[in-house]
Amino acid sequence: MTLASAPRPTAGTDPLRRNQTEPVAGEVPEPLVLGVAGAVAARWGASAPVVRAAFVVLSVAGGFGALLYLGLAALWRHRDVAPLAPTGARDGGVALVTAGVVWELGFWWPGVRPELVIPVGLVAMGVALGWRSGGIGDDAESANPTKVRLSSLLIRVAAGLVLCIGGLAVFVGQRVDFGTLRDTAIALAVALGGVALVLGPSVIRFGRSFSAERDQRIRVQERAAVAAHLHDSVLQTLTLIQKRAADPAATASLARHQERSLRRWLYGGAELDGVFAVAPDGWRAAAEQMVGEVEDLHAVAIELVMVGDGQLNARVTAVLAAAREALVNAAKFSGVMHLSMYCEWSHDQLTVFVRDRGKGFDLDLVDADRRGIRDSIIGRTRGVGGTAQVRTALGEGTEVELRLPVRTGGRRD
Amino acid sequence: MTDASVAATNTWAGPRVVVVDDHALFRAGVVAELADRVHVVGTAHDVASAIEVITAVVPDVVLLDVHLPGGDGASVMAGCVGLDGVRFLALSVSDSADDVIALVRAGARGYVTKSITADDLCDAVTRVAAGDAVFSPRLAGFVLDAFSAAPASSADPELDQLTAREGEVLRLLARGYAYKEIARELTISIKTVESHASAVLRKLQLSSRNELSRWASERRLI
Repeated sequence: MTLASAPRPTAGTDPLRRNQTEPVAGEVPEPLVLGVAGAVAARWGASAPVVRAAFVVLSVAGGFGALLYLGLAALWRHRDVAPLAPTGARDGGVALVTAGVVWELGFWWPGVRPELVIPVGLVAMGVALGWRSGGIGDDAESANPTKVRLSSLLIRVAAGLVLCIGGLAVFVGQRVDFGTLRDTAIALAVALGGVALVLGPSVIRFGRSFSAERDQRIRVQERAAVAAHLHDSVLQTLTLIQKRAADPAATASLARHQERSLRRWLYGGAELDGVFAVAPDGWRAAAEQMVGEVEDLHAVAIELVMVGDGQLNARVTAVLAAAREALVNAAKFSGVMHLSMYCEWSHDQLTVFVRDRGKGFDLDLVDADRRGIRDSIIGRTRGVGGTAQVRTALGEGTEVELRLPVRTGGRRD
Repeated sequence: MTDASVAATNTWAGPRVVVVDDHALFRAGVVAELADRVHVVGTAHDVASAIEVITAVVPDVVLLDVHLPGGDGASVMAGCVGLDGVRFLALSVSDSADDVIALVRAGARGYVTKSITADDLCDAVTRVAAGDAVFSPRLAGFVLDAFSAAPASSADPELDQLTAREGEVLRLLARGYAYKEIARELTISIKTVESHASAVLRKLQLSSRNELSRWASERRLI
């Protein structure tokens, strides 16, 4: 209980915070300054880094961007936006609009100096590209990193670097030729190397503590998930069992149901396998589910033993349905609470036995209205080319035997 | 069961049993269920105490949980190797083939699940005390699965394959038949059924170069 209700530092208090576990297509990212760029990006469906770059460029263009930014921050209740998923087209739109505004401003305002705007614009776009691909930007692809293909990532990083270097070269030399580019690249590499040497150790330390913190957070989340699951399932069931202690059938059914679901949760559905891994669409999984349903519906315990496995098809499913009918019949009429079902896939045959040690009956005297055996069991199995046999006698229990020739058993065809 | 044998088991103290299980509630439950039909001479909750108790009282049967603090059921059996006449019956809540086959290969005379009824458990204990093998339907299914995984082709075919009769017996066990019912079904004596079951158990324990061991090693049992 305490674990389940332990406060988790994620959703709830701040709708702007990203929930790490849910990769939502369009999200309002963590604010970098005042959160205006993020809000604009979310509303227009662009990437936050691109919008930030646009603001930087516009700010250099005579301070227009800074004014715009502050104005929007003052005016806009940006917490109410309904985010759109960012797309490349909308990012391009932001870039074009920015370029247009700069162009227009250039005519009106002497403060817009191309020798400043162009390099800053190039660097800003380069950084934006790098952020988008490096997962720093809060766009959809960084929330779902498996979608980012390596080749496109490399192309974008390279393009970002070229833009940055080009921008710096323009800034330094004001004339782009090969020599300037080379010198700038070397200067940039030397500067970056120096920065890496100076800051490297602390960056690494920070990265380590960051990942340790993240591991810790993941552990806490897993623990909370386990606690929540146990709370929702096991504790609830135990409470129900205490309340209904006077009703043995109900408590047994609750306990069986809970046991099954807990096992499925713990072992991922593969706990009953023998040699064969349980195929999710195979016979074993289907038979297990069917038996569970009958147990729950009719408050009986069914000992299910399976050898081999095979794939489902219409014929096999018909046999499964016949077996279900046999179990339901036994649950209703045998007078015992414990049934057995054994099924075996050999190389050429599927065999199913459903057995009870109940009171049995005289097969010849079965009323015409008890159509379950004749139609649902025997007729159904024969209809798909199998054989069905019911062996019973008064006081001797009942055993239903279903056989179906199969082409390939034991493995999937 | 006839009335006479029920009366007899009620008055006779029955086999001496040690119950090893780390779950105190479950241990108490088993002891209460068995109390008037077998003689529970000791209990233990982990590997070390189990070996100590078993060595001290030398029971006929040890009801052994698969998973224990400080090891598993197999390490208890390993710690009691020198003791004559002590037989182990594995008792587990786990349905995994790995656990069960591992214990049987380590020398357990049988395996039952914890959902077993008190009557069936007493029956199983008595049977193990008499030196028989106890196959729950599930264990029979595991063994059939293991032996049918692929046709054997090794130096010791006797140990690698089940005879047709052993296969029949195992299939009936897997279908939930009791030994008595199997004997009637196959028109053989109960003793013969028991000897088939013991033979299967021996094959399971002794066969080392066959499909079974490959199966087991694939599943990281050995």
